[in-house]
Formats: sequence, C-alpha cells, structure tokens
Amino acid sequence: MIVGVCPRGHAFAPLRVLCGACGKPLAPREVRGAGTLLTWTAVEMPPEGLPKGRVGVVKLEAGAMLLARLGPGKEPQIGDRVVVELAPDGYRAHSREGSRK
Amino acid sequence: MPVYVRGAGMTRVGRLADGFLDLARAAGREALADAGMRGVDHLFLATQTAEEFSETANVATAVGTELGLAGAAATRIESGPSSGASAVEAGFHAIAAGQAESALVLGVEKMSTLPTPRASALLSKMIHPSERRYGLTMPALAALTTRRWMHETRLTREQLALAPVKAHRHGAKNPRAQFQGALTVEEVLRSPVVASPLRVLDCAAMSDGAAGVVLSNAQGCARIRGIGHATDDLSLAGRQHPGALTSFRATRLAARRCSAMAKRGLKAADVVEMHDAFSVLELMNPVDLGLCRRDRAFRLLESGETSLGGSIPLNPSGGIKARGHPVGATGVIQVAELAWQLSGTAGASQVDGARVGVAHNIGGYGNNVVVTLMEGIR
Repeated sequence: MIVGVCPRGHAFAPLRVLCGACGKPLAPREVRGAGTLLTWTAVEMPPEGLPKGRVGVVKLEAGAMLLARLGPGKEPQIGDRVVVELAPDGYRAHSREGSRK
Repeated sequence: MPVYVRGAGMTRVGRLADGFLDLARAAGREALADAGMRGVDHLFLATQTAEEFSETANVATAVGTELGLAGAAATRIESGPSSGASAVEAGFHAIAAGQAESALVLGVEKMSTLPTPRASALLSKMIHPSERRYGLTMPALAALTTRRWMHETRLTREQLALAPVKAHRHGAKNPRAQFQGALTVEEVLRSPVVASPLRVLDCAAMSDGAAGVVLSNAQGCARIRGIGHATDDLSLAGRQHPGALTSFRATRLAARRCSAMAKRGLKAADVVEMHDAFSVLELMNPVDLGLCRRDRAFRLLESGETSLGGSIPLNPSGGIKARGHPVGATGVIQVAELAWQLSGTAGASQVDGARVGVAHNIGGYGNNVVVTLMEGIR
C-alpha cells in the first residue's frame, strides 16, 4: 500500500500531488494495509453505469482514511479489523477473521 | 455599506412543466416586483448543472435577457449545491463594496428533465473521482456518515425516521413545498433502500424550482449581518480532522466566520433554514452550527423543540427534504424564506416574532458551506 504523507502528518490514499489540508507536496510512503472499518454502506441505487455493492471507510493503522470495496458474505460491523489491498478497480478490504475491536 | 434584502420571489418547487428560463423569469419578476424595482445593477445567477439538465450555456446572460435586464452586469456563480448561498454572498460583496447599489440574486435548477439514475450520475460528478469510482452517490456518502452517527450516538433507525417526518409536517404548511402531505415513521421505514441504512424517504428528491432576492443598499425588510464561507476536502476520506465522519468542519468554520462578522452567536437565531438533504443532517447540522450539544440533538427533534412552536424552529419551510431541493436554487430559497419570516409574512410557516434568521447551505457532501445571518427591520 502506498499512501501520501505531508510534512505535517496529513495522509491521503490514494496518493495525490499536494496535501489537501496544507498544500505541501506529499511524499509516497509504503505502509501495511491493516486497518479498522469505521463505517460502511451497501449501495442499492448506484448512478447510471456503476454496479451495486458494499463500500466502507477504513482507517489504516498507518494513519490514512480511505474508501474500499467490501466483499459479499457476512454483514460488516463497525470496528471490524480489515486488510486493504489495491485491485484494478480500486481498494478492497478483507476481514481479518475473528479480530473485531 | 449595509446590505438589505428588499424583495423576494419564488416559484413552487416540484416536478414542474416550466423550463429553466420560465422558472428564472417567474422568480425574478416576482422578486423585482416585491422590491418595487424594474432593474438592478448586477444579476447574480446560481445554478449547478444547467448545461446538462437544460442544454443551455452562458446562462447568466440568457436569464438577464429573459428578464429584460440588458445593460446590467450578469455573472453565474457555482459552488455545487451551495451555489445559491454563494450567489447571495457575491451580491452582498458587490453592494457592500459600493460597486453596485442593487443586485438580483437568482437561483434556478431544472432537474426533472432526466430520469433519476441519469440525474444521479450527473450529480455524482461533484464527488471526488477517487470516491466516485466506487459507485458512490450523494446518498451513499450520507449513508456512510449516518451509520457512523447512529453507532456513536446509539440512535435507532426508527428514531432517525423522525427527521423526515418532522420535515414533511412543516412542508405541509408551505404552499410552495414539493411535498405537501404528512409522512409516518412506518412509511419512511418501508421505502426502498438507496444506500443502507438510508432509504428513499430519508433523501431529498429531484426538484425543479427557482427563487430570487433583490439586495440593495437602500433599506429593505431584512439586513444581512454576517456571511461565513468555508470548504473542506472534496473527498470524505481525505478530511484530516478527527470526527470527520460525523461532523462537517466546513460548517463549523463557516458558522464561526458568520458569527464573527455579525458580532453575535448563532444561538441568537429565532429561525433557521438549514441543509437537511439527508435525515442525519437534521441532527448533525445544529451541532456543527453550535446550536446544541451532540447528545441533545435527537432530544430536541423528538421533543418538538426544533419544530414550529418550539424553542429553536429548524426549517419551518419543510427544508430541503419536504420543500424540495432544486440544488443551485436552494441557498437563495433559504434567504427568501428567511426574508418572509423576518418580515412576518411567512403565513402558516411563520415563527412568531422572528427577528434573527440563520441560513445554512451545504455544497458537495459537506465540503463547501455558507452560513448567513439576517436580521429583520421592522
């Protein structure tokens, strides 16, 4: 996982050129994909041309918040510990079994 | 230079037969007539998506032409769904700076020309590309904050449904509102899921409508005392402050700036028109505006304190949820509604003795917010 970090510690995933909070250049930093699910939704009425599906907000242990697709199956819970990986269609979060905070 | 609201006009809100220019003409003429004026120095036009919904461009000039305002300056203002409030702000600046003596601020949106999935795709263009790619719509972003809010405050789904029920109760008193009928908790909970936990009746509808206000340096029914404007990261996940999923920093900053300019706290408001596009905002907004603590927000809704007749009526017009949300027009609608409240002409929606009003208009999902404080002149 690559996140962008500015000198003041603001973190963005995916990477951008400049920090959205202070305008400083972001440096790419490689981090682990481990994180916690902060919230999620199942989109039932997507905009034209995009699929339905579950999407969550994950806070990485390394600091950045990001959006990630969640798999089907057991209903996610806020506080689920997940691992995020980069897939061709964006981030995907998988649950780390039996590890709810 | 003090800036006053001298006149206001507004169409009905709903799925209307009128086209974009018809709506603009109707609201503009009514506002000018109400102000007793035939022309203004500057037309400020707020519209978010006119090009795509209405196949038109150079819209400020087009609307000026339609209103017979050739010669006046004309500018289009856009900041997403807070375009209307941004246009009021631009009109305020022009007059406060002494560059114009009068301005017509018009907000117009025509959204029913396209089927909802297509309209939803157009509106989703205001979402950061890194988030849009996941199929997120505005309701889906709201759903993410709603679930988190419910988790943190232990709010139930049934309790959340009281927000649209209250909005529709107010809308039923407003002859211009899109939804005039009452709504029950059961109806909200039976409506289809848009993005869990949000259902159709938690979300603003697609609306057509327009409103205009004439601003002037000559005394009118209300004076604009303060305007605060602030942004946050376009993306939800890119917001860097703690609690970003249950609080809009842009609202907090805009409220603080408005309050500093007006030299009074927003708690001075007798009436508030705020941006309740989704049920959860009925609870989040008053906290971000500094009107109540978070642990009081639901209690105020449940007890009726935020209803007409309560201690701090929020959205007596029915708000975005029930009055309707022609996106670029909403901020002007709010100022027009407050002008009527502060001049005692709001009919069945009237808050008794209202002297101070606050408008709160959100662009994007919490990323471009304008807060305006007005005081009645009686």
